[in-house]
Amino acid sequence: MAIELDEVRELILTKLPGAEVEVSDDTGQGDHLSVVVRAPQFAGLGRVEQHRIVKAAVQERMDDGSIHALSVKTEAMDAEGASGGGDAHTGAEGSEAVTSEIDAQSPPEED
Amino acid sequence: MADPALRDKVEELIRDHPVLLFMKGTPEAPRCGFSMRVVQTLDSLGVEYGAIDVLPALEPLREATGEISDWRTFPQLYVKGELVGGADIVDEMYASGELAELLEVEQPEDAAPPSPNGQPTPGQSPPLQIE
Repeated sequence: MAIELDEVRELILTKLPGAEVEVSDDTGQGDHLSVVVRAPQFAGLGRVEQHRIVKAAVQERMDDGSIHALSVKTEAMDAEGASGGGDAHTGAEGSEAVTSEIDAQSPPEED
Repeated sequence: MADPALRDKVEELIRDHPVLLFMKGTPEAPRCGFSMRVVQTLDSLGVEYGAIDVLPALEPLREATGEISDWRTFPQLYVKGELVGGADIVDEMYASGELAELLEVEQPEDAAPPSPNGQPTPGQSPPLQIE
């Protein structure tokens, strides 16, 4: 099974109006997805809580198997819609939005 | 509803292990790329951790961790009884040095995320997928 990227985007936007949502398909098969979400609602929340919100938005489509794997990258943005990319945020949530999340592997440590 | 006995057991495991990873497969043989990434990160930090293979009881454990931590995907890393997050959060915190700080270990000098380009390493088998 798979899912349209636009549907994923809409599900997240329904939960997080005003967010910037980028959805990408890691395998070309529509079931291993990465999302980058910048939302004003994330302000003041920890990473775990931000991820909970995003995952809750698409939970139904993970439960039904449409989405097999989902990488999530979250970032708070201010109410004016600036994502703050490149700015040094104060607090714990000022990470750059870089997607490097796919189900890829590196060699295991050999120790 | 999660099985109360299982839920108690999971809570006990979280409480009793300073660093605990719920993962698909084992540290020696991870069966999911996300779980493998967290194993590699913990190994590179040189920390001891308990690892629970969730595959033999995937759905019951999903229910249990959903109730305990409101988190239903694996891997899940717990440190000092608190949910740190899944592979994406662990990667971010590793890259920023927050994870080393939390675990009270030295940040390795070559602390690049395990898969900086997201490219499979040639010669590696693809991750096994549990459908």
